[in-house]
Amino acid sequence: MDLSTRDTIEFLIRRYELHDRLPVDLGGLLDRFTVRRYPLTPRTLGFAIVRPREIHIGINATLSRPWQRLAEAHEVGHIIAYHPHRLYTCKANQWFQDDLEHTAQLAAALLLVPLAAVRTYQAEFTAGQLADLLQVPTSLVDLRWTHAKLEGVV
Amino acid sequence: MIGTWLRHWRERRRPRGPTPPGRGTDSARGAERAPDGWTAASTAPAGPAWHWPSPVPAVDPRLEVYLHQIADLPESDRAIIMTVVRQILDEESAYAQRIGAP
Repeated sequence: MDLSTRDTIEFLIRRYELHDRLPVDLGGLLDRFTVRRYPLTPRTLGFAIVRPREIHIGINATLSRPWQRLAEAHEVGHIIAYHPHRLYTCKANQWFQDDLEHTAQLAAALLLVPLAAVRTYQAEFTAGQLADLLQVPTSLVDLRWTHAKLEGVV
Repeated sequence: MIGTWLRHWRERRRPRGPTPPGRGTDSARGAERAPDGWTAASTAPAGPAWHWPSPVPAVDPRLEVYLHQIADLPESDRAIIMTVVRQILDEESAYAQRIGAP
């Protein structure tokens, strides 16, 4: 993830006070976009279309709440990072196949898993417990913790 | 000579099935004065189904740029996404017409 994208994420976290209460409420940020739910197959978690007059995010309505939140944050990650093509899809278990998907998934982890929560990882809570508290999939907590570890902040 | 050949060529090009109203015959005559060919064809053994020649290509050219990006998704997911894209593009076109954009 480049520094510009990381700065934008930090700005948005402060601007919308995303990490002031748990679980993180992306509502203020998502209000900037059109968000709809569709009966997609389990293969597709969500998609986003960026057009001049509208940014449309489609979420798989059949997913559990934590996975829907992940899909929302993942698509927001694509938009924040200003990725090319302007049509993004969030496919199950494809987040490490290319840089763009990895960046979007990392952005989702940064948005939905506050650093303060990651600091309690292992000492107070397991990844599963944190995932329940934050209403996100466990894998997202693990990704956030790994990233924080690499940055040397935990 | 040319006129005879043209009549013969047009005759060969005429579709074999029922002629759709308003296409290929005088549409003013309509159903109340069905031409002989129409009646004859409706009682004859069914020929190949008539299809209106589509005025637009099967794939909207505006969508082509998006289609290859979702080629690996299941068909139903592609259909949902393309419907959303088409709606957005249609709304953009309508908006552009409303404000008189070129």
